[in-house]
Amino acid sequence: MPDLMIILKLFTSFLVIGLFSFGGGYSSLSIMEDMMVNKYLFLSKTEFWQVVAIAQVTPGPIALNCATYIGAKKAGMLGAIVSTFSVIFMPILLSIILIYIYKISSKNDIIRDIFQNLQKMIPFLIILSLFSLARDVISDFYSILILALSFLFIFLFPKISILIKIISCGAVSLLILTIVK
Amino acid sequence: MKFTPRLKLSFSLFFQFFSISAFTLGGGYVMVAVMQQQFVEKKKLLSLERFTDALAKAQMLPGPVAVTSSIFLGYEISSFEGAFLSCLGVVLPPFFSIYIVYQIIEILNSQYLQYFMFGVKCATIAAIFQFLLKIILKKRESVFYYIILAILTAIAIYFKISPILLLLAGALILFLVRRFFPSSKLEKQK
Repeated sequence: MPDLMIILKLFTSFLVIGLFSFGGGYSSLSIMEDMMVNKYLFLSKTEFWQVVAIAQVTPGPIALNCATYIGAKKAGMLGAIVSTFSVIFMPILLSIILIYIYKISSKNDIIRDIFQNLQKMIPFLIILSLFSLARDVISDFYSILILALSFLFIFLFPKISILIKIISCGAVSLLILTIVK
Repeated sequence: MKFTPRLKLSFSLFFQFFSISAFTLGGGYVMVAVMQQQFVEKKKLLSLERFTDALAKAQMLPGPVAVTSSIFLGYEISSFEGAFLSCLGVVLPPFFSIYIVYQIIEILNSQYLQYFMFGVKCATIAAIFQFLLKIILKKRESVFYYIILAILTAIAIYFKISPILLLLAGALILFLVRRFFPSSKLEKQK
């Protein structure tokens, strides 16, 4: 039986994460990291970015995948269900409210204005997660080498699907690290 | 339970969203493109105009793009039953796949898996950086906006203040500036 406190914490933290995940995916990661690593100490920083990496190579929205994975890791099946449900709860609630508002009147400049300004902060959230992820990854010469190769892979071949590129980066990293360590 | 035509349509939406979610790799935005193909071009369930309108509303809100899009599209096509079942269809496949992947990784966790995941992490940095470039280059903003962005980032990194607070503060500043100085010099440098 998983700890009820953990379930409750998962529920409240993913509720907040869902509410502020403007722009979906990558922009919700810095808030999620702050909640999971700094506030609730559910995972270490390295573990958190490991989960993100796994979410990246699995089908489905990245924020949703991270929530399910962290929930499962902390509290099994029940944790997974609670986290997944709570991360989408606020977006669903806001969608329903917005549908009703648009039913009453189709002109809502102030609502659009508020959300547009929140949307404009997406680059800020993404830069934060980049900083944190880079700090976690960069340690020695080989890590910088693999990072540089990854940038080449991702940026040089626009025709190849992103998933294939990411998996090849993993393969290259496996090769290099197995040889040198 | 009566099986009305609308309920039938909603269940067919469930299966369509389920398969889109299960078989589309590459995240939310790719999924949205597939949804357009499926619902506008192939099944002709709604016009391109209504599709774009629903998506504009969906993308305004927080949350995974695929989830909010499915709610608004489901609602457009088949009211609240449609919205509910479409959302469920999008959420279920990644839930099960992640749960299974979690089990496998817990069993397989070895040094070699760590080495592989390290490369995936590096690739994630590159992919996020590419995404950042794309959204920053898409629209030119005022100099004022970039200064705000830089200040907020510096504060977040040096003082460890919650990103949520800074997100709200930044949005509030932009909101106030736009409201009270709509024709200011800073905002017009485009």
